[in-house]
Amino acid sequence: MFMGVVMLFSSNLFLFLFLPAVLFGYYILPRWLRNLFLLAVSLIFYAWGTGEFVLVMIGSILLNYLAALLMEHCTHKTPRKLLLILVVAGNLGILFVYKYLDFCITNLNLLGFHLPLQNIALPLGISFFTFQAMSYVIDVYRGTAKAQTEPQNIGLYISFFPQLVAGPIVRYQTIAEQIDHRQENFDDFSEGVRRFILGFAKKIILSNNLALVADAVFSTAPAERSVLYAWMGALAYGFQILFDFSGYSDMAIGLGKMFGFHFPENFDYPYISASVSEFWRRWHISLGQWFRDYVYFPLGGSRVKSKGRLVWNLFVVWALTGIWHGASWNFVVWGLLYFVLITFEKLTGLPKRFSYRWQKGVYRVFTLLCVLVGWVFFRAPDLHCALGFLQSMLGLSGNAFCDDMVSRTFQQYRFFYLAAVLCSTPVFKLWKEKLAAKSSRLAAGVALLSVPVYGFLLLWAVSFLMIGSHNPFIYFNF
Amino acid sequence: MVQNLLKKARGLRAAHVLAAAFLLYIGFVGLYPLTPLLEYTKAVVKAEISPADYVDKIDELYYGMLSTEQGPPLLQNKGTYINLNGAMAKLLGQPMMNERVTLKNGHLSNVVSWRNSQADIEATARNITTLAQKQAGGGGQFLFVLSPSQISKYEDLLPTGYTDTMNETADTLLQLLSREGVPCLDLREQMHAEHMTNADAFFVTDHHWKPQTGFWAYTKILNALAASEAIDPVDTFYTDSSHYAFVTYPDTFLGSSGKRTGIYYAGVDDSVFIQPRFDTEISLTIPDRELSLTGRYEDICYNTEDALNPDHPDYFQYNAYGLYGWGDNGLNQWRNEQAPDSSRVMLIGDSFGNVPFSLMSVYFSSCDELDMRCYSGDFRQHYADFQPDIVILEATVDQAFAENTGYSFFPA
Repeated sequence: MFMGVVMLFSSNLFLFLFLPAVLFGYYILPRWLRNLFLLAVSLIFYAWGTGEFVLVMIGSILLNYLAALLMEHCTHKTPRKLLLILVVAGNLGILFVYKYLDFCITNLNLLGFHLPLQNIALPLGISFFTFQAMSYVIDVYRGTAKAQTEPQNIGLYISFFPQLVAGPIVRYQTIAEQIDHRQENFDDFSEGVRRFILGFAKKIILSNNLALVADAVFSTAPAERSVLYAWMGALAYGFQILFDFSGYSDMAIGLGKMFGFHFPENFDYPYISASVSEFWRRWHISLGQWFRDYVYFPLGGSRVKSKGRLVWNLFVVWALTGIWHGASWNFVVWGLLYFVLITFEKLTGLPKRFSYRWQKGVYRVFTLLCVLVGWVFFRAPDLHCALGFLQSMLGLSGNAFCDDMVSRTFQQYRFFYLAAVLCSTPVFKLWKEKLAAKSSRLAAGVALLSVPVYGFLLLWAVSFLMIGSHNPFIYFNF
Repeated sequence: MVQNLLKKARGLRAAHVLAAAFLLYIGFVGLYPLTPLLEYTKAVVKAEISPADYVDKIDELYYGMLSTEQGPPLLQNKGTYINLNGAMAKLLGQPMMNERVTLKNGHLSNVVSWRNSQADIEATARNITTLAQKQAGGGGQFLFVLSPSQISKYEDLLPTGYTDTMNETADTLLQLLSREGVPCLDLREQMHAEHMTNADAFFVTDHHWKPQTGFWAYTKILNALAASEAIDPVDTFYTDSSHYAFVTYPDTFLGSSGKRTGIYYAGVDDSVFIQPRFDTEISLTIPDRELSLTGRYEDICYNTEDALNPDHPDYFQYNAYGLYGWGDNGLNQWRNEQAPDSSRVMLIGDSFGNVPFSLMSVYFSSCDELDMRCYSGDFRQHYADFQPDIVILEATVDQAFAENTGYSFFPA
């Protein structure tokens, strides 16, 4: 559980007060004050929802700022390494205390210990900013980035509000230059607005509506959940989490552009993946790259002599990926499910070895099914419920094949399912590119049409906020 | 200069237009609650409120930032967004919007899928029985009136996949009351016997019955009292609908459900006001409002503070049904010296009672109308002082377990 009333991007408070005030303040200030201003408003943004936890973040900023400076001044290899170990341990220690301590105590108590639970609340977005901070000191240690001498700049890198609580996890070397020397322009700003509206609409129109289906289905008793209803619920959750997280990433990238930053992409139509490995190259790209660069490669990656070592490396990465998402066995199982699937693909060379289209098609469906099963573990409150849900999907919980809830849900949410299917594929993007390739007039027409379309999407999404609809955000929990 | 401007305008792209419109929009809407925002900011700067309170107040302010009152421009009016959302829900064929379900007759309704426990139903039946017995013990009359709800007991109105348990629960309550010999009038059965459909009886966008149905209920209650010899045979002059005008303003009322869904999702209703075509002189006292009025029924019955503007109805603020008897009050005291029946009648009920109970003032010389959901006085004292000849307790199917029936009138 995290504390406080969080300032969601998809809220009236953010859209109509925080954002215009920050944009106004930012653009009237001289350039030399802008980073300091962004740092200040980022800390306010964080403190708004989490109160005193902003001190944890400030502590993290200071720790990593000082450690990197020391590291750069230290020319000897051993103390540099020792310093790196210390600062990484410090970062992980913060993460452990706030996120995993009670989980460990609960499990130790199952083994016969009698340790009291600490009931420590989880600071918002701690996994994201801790990983960003570690990326900075590791890059400085490796010499791929220079230590920041200006504390406000490193503070801004760690706490910048667009990607503070839900990523993308930006590597320091990706953004170091932009912190010091970015150039804002109206083209970028306009593209940022477009991207923000897109993410806002994905989050509120698609994710929030399908969340209602997922919540209803997952809270139904296994025996009362018909097979088709269970599948509708699993699908709804699959779309909910995609548009929740990718919508938030779109908003973060868009907001970044409004301030002249260019964040890397975090999603690339993951549900069109032809394999599980490809899925993870398209889903939460920044997290995958972080684990690849800072865990998998240092362990030896795929270029190891024995298959046993490769399997071990994959195991470490996927166990960590699972546990990164939350202190629960569900997430561990979810991570290990991907370990099994990706190890299978690495060792067998599938699906690359398939030569027929139907084989590739079947494997594509298999990939989607695996992802869907993974989401069941991700969404269910515990392993028992997850297994119960899978039983419902397979008709093994004494449940009917179909019931009235299926037609009720279909009638209420058919548009959102259809829109979710279309928006999870690049169909609109390809259509736009095709038209643009035919003639420049068509391209101009499409661009012109985008103004009322995006305007309408914004107003429709705001209308959901105004009527006080369900507005959760999954990735704040991580 | 003009050439430069033209040159710049040619360089503008659609994305630029979108960005400019976005900035104007968030700035324009965001400034709407500027006055309270500045007040809170001043207060926190002067340390009159704590930073934590400031945060809470700002959260609250921006959560419900827009008003639905007429006046704020289009994009600063919450009604615009509700209408847009409702129009989209209608376009997409969604049977439910903002916790209201579209029934098969096109009416909007709340749906209750959970069940009341048998113990709750029995406790409520005991409360009602105790009041009925107390009244009978003093030689008075008692009638329990069950009003129908949007979800009919006899019509198949719920869309596929929706269930509602309230009619079953009400049936169980009536069985328990009958077993104890409590006189009951089930208006659902009366409607069924007279082939009245819920589409005839109810507003489309409101959970209440139409005033015309309230009038019909008034006549049925009087007939039931006469049948049980609680009163003399009904003077039909006062129950003949031709002696009343039903003044109608078409498409001027958006009911409580419609206010959640907007004017495009299920349409709008008519406002109807009932006026006796004969002379009346009634006095109405409402202690909660510190109000005391005397005059013709139509001059005192309707809340004039929230009156209808038929040319520009304020759909999201105006409540045609709630005008009857000045809405839900703890106590309304009606006195009519010209009334054909001199009985002292205590009327206990919910908002479904607003129309029939206010009409009772035309028929009885002394009516005390109580809504226990709002009543803050001492019921037993009031009962002892008023000494009613007749007590009518009204509850709607889906309000059968509200404070009105659950209230412990005479605790053991």
